[in-house]
Amino acid sequence: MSEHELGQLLGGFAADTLTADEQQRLYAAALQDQHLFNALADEQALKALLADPVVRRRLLEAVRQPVTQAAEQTRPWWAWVRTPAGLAMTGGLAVALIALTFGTKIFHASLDRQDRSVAIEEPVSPSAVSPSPPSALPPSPSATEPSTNAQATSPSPITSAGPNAMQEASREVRAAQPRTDAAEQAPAAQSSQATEQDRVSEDRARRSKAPSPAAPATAPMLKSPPPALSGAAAPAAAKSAKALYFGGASPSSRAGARAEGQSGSAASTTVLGLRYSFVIRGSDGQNLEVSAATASRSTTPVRLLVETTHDGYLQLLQNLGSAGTRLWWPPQETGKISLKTVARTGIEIPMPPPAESGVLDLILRFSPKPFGPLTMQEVGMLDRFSGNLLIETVSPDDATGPGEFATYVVQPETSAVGQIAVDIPVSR
Amino acid sequence: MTKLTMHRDLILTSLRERILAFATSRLSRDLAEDLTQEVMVLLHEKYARVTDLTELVPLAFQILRFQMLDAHRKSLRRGEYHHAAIEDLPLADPGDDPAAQLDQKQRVDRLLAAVGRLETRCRDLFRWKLEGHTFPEIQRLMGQTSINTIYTWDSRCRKQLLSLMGGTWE
Repeated sequence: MSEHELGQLLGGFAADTLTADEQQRLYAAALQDQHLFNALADEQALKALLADPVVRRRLLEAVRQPVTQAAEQTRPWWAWVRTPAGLAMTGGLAVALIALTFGTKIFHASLDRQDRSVAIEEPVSPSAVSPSPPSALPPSPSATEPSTNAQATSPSPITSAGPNAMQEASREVRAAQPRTDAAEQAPAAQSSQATEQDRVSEDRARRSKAPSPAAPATAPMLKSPPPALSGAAAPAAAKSAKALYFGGASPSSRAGARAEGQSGSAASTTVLGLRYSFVIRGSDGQNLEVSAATASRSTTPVRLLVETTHDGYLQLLQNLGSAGTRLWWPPQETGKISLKTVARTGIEIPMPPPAESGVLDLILRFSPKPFGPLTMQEVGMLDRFSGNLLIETVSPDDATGPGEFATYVVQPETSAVGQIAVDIPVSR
Repeated sequence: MTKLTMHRDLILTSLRERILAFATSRLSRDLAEDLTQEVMVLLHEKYARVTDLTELVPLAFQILRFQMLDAHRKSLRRGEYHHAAIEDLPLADPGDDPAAQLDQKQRVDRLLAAVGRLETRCRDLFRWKLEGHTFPEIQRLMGQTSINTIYTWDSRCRKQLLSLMGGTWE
């Protein structure tokens, strides 16, 4: 037993309970170690107390009693934390709290993403989009109907927001750009030589999934169509973006109504949509709608005329190719990233100059809710906003002379996303 | 068991050295030498028959403590602490010293209060020691396989009790 361990015998010295061997070694060590000797000398006071039978009896009575309340009160309330069990419990609670906090956030985020995905990716059955069989379609759309088409636009990784968000979004767009640019290079070479009619035909051929075209538009250029037009177009509403735009029911909502045995109210749901066209000022001072090809070659100022089905917010982005994407409208001076629009009211937006490559590619975004700075998550979802759109370009019949040159874009699904992002290739 | 046998004179020589060092740490050098001399005289003359180490050393501690308390009382009477006039001090009572009795009572009260605030294990340890159990017996009572565990626990409990007493047994 070392001297340090011998010091542990002090308690036995005072109580006089050391064995003969312990006493022998303790006292012999005390004669050699002054510190141990001093400790024993100090302990003599307690030994003298405990040697008194009366004091010893009173002490025994005291220690045989249960722990007094005072003894419990001397310990601070947090003293249990310092015990091993308390430390383990505290640590476990802290870990559980952190896990609960982050887990809840992650769970909500995943639920949000899931809701968006379900809303966006809900498949549109062909029968719902085209209720009438193909045989019921007019025999030769290209011959009898000038330019009524519908298509799902290609994904467009467009981003827009404030300056910082724009920079972040530009990086995202650059990363995805090679895929889209490559796909667009081929038609770009052709479009430089294509005539306006060629372009319409090309669009028609490209839109193999297009529903049966509606009758040529006869609505005034800057006015909303009369209510009667909606009713007249009702039979073709399911496959015409234009018809849907002017009040046709959403195919999905109709399908849902059938499934639930409902009718009427669901069918009256107006889909989210917009109509855009390129306008130039005519010799008579009136706006004249022209095709995209004409607009790209025009020497007079061209504006983009946009009209929406709902009150909402618009923004126009310009795809600069490898340089990214910039917000063209609203102008930077406004300090806003989108401007409010009124349903069925046209808004004229000046056209931006082409990019250095000579390409003028625009992205029009519309949402009933104000746009905020785009998050990285939204950047990745922009292509989904345009994935299920019905797009129909309407050109005037040669027989009827100058008329409507516009494109209707509707979101056939009444999804919770409520946002449209459509690519507008002006010149390539 | 190793039995250490030491000659009485050798034990007394060592004791004198340790006692003088201890007393010097608590008293003045002259007083410490006087006190040491008185202890040694008592051990030589009054307890000449005590020769065993396990008896002589505790006896020396006991005499040392009495002598130190006596020296403390003498200092008080001489006014070394308060410098009070000797006429103002009461006459010494040849019987029980009331001050010592009061001091003893207060010390016992403090010890009782401190024991009452000990942890359960320390109370058990203290109780078994008061009942006269040795450490090996306490080891069996507590179901421990190592006596060192009992030594360690007792040392911690002693320190806890000393802390609850205010850092001193006096």
